[in-house]
Amino acid sequence: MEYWIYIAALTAAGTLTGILVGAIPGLSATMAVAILVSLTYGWDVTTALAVIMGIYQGAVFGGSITACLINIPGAPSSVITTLDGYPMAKRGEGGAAIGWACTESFIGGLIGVLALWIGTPLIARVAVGFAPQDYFLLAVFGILLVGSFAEGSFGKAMFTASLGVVLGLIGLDLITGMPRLAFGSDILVKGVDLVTAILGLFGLSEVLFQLYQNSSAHIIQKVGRLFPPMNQLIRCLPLTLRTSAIGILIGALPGVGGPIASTLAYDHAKRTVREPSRPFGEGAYEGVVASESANNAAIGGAIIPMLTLGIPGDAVTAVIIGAFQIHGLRPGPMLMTETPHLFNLIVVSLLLATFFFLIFGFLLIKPFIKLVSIPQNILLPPIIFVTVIGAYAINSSMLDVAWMSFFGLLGFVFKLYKFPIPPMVLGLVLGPLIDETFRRTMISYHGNPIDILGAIVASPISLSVVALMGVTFFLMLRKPRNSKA
Amino acid sequence: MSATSYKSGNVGANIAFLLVGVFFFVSSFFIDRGIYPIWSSGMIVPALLSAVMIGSAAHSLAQAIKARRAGGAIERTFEPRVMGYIAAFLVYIGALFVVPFWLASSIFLLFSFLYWKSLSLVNAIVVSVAVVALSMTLFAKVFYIVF
Repeated sequence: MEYWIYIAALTAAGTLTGILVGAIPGLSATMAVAILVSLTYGWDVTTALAVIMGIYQGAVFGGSITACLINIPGAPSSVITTLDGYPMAKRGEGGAAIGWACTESFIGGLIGVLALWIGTPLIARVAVGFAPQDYFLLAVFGILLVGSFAEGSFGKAMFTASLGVVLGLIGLDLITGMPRLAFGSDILVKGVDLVTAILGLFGLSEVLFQLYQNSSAHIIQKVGRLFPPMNQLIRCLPLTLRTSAIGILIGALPGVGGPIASTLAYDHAKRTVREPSRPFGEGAYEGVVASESANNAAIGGAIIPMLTLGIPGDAVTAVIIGAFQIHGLRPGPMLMTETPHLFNLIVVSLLLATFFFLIFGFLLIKPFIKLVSIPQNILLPPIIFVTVIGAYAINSSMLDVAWMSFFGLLGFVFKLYKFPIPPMVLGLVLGPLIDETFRRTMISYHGNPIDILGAIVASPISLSVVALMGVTFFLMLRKPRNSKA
Repeated sequence: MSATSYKSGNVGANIAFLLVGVFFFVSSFFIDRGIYPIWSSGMIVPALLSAVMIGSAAHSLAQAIKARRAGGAIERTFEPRVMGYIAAFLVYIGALFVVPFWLASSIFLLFSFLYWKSLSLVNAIVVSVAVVALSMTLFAKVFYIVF
């Protein structure tokens, strides 16, 4: 019992931190988890996971606070919430917008956790039978999807994803044992440390870019009534269930995650809700319902491929894989049988975090607003300091601090020229998997493409993966309607 | 120095990224293949992916050139104030190798608050010392190693 009270306290602390970080524009859940992961080296893995899950759930909800109040999403998954949340705030319903966001995030989060609890053991059972070519197809699918939905240019996203894969291959070749792309350097032979790279790319680069932008948004301090009317909540429940299901399905696709889930859910709401409370884009409750239920449901979905296949569902789960690596664990089908207690811990922590952000969301909204009003040029320099400590903590080595600085500056340059960073992190995570599975497939079939194609056609699992890729691309290529109804 | 002196623009950046792709593409051909044929050797994935990098950077470069010719491109620049701060950060990282962690970090934080004009001198000193002291308490294990 004491153990679970301890876990609950850690999850509560993580959720509180997550809401705060998520609410501050520019500071994302990925950044918070990246910084924390580096500091968990000396922690027990259960302690680290409880805090991380709290931050993850809290930050996705936290992003909606500034999305509603100042039209700046605190997290990428809250971008769609601005479409109706901010018009609500402009009508003097800022509190109601946050209340809707909190309630719907809670329901979506609960459904996502339920899907995680039921779906993970089922998929893990199937995943044991995956052949190298199935993993290869899934990994490439993940990278292509991220490229397709990155902001701006597909080419830029593919560039950063490919660079991530190549950088992830620096070091010893797992199959031959020979150094690769090390250029005779002892430092490069050790390879790029995933957590150090993530810390620089999501921590330092974010801070430098925020300082570069020097933004100082004014927060609406007056929020008004928070609780949504019960009859409206019940009326929106069928929509909540549908958009939560979309969130889970999209979240479970490798490399996609909350931002796409909320976009598709919003589009679905616009197509199916015949009589919205107001026109979409002008403060319709249904817009906030769709976006917020989907992005929190996507969390449960995103964790499923991470735990069962070792393939991250989104950028945050890519970072969480780093946390597993720090503690000597490798996510995949065997994780469920070798360390089932970790799966239970993740489910319980996410469930607790869902209740905690509902409580914190309603009780502490006013202090939160005051805290996120602190100017960014006061908040950001200490974060640089924390990233330096975090990088050092990984291996007690100044070399990691230097690597973190390199990736931080690289990430800053990428941000400056609008090259997306999440595909690069997915490339770093998936690079070794792509390399190993591609070469094992080639070795197994003696490099004969006809044999490989035959193996894919003959295997129900491979065919399912190909069908999943086809259906996803078809759905994703359908353009959502305009935001204004 | 004026801001324009740093104006490399999107075209310059894309050329740099293209060169990075070419560098990795050429480098991948120097990877030891061992006993494996080329299609299952350690060079195949880096070579293929760096080819994708070259193609992507070339596509992005073409778009940047098109946008510049059309005259509607918003070119991002390395502003001196940010470059100055990055230089200070690099000095800080270098100083960590020779100066005690707490001292270098306190000075860097103090500098940051003053550089971004976020706090007055007295407040900046108080906040810098407080942040370092708090971190030393929270991450005692890390600081124990550092000292």
